[in-house]
Amino acid sequence: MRRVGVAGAIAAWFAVIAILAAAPVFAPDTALAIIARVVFSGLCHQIPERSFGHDGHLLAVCARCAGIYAGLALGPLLAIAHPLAPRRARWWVIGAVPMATQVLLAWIWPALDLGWLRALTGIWAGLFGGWLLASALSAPRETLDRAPASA
Amino acid sequence: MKDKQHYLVPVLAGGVLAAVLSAIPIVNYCNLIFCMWMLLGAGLAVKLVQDKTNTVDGKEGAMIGLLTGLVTGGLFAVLYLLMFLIFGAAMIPGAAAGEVEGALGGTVMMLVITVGSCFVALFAFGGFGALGGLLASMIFPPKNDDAGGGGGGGFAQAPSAPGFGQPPGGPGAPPAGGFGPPPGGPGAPPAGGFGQPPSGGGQPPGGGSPWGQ
Repeated sequence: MRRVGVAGAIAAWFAVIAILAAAPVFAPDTALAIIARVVFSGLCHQIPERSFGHDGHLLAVCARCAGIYAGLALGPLLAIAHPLAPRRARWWVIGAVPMATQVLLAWIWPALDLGWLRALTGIWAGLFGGWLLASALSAPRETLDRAPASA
Repeated sequence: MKDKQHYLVPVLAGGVLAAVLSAIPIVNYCNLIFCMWMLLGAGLAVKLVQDKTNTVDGKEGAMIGLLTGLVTGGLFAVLYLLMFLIFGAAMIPGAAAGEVEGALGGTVMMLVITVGSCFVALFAFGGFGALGGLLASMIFPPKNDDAGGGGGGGFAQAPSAPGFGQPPGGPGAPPAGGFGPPPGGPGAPPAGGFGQPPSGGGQPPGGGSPWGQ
């Protein structure tokens, strides 16, 4: 029960961030959209060519960041069903490798620098980030202490 | 959060570092890589606490990171407020034209944006700080301190009151209290009334502590 509460709170936390990042699309020309643009300017380059949009209005973050925030909001829900050992390096590697590979490949082969691919790898990375964070914060302390530091 | 007394300085140091690096133009571009400065600030805080306590696990790391992120977000909030105070009037619609109603509405709007930005900054930096703290607790795990009881890097456990510990020479050596003959022989006068530790027993740690290891 505690795990559900903690994971739900973390999911809600990141969902608020994800919704705010999308504010310029669903509530353009409002204070919320300006707030989103101001705050996320410190966290994302906000280049229009690399951002998703609808009807001429762009998200406050790029495609990759949008994916990461969406993943961070969804990942904690996975921790309810199946918590991970957050200090096992393999989970971090599994989460980060697709995004890192995409970044590397896009440098070598710009044709692979696709918006949906950036978003997808971002979702994957965010999913694992949220999953691990919720697993860590919802697990009893002694469970974490027993988990080894490396894979 | 069992070692909260050790949090203040590391959390402030990590939070200020992340905020400063995130506020410097060009340098702040590193934040585009998964909010790198925030992860680094939270990681620094966890490392500092880990060095002091050696007990930071994943949960505690995430909490330290969250606090660091909130400090960074708080500093950004102050920055937004300062920007509002310095440049706000110039940005308020209608203020330059002298329209009172327009200026009033613009001021309220600017205040809403500033306060809203403060809250969102706390949310965003807090979230990434928690992630950074968790990641750092994985990179800097507690050192295996099972050697603590057997010497070789562990902390010697001091007795609760002087006089109850073992003398350096072991159970057979005379305690530092004047009992037993000094090593020079029974006829030699004790120096100041206290027995000398046996020559093979070594010096007690800490330069003369009355109790042994």
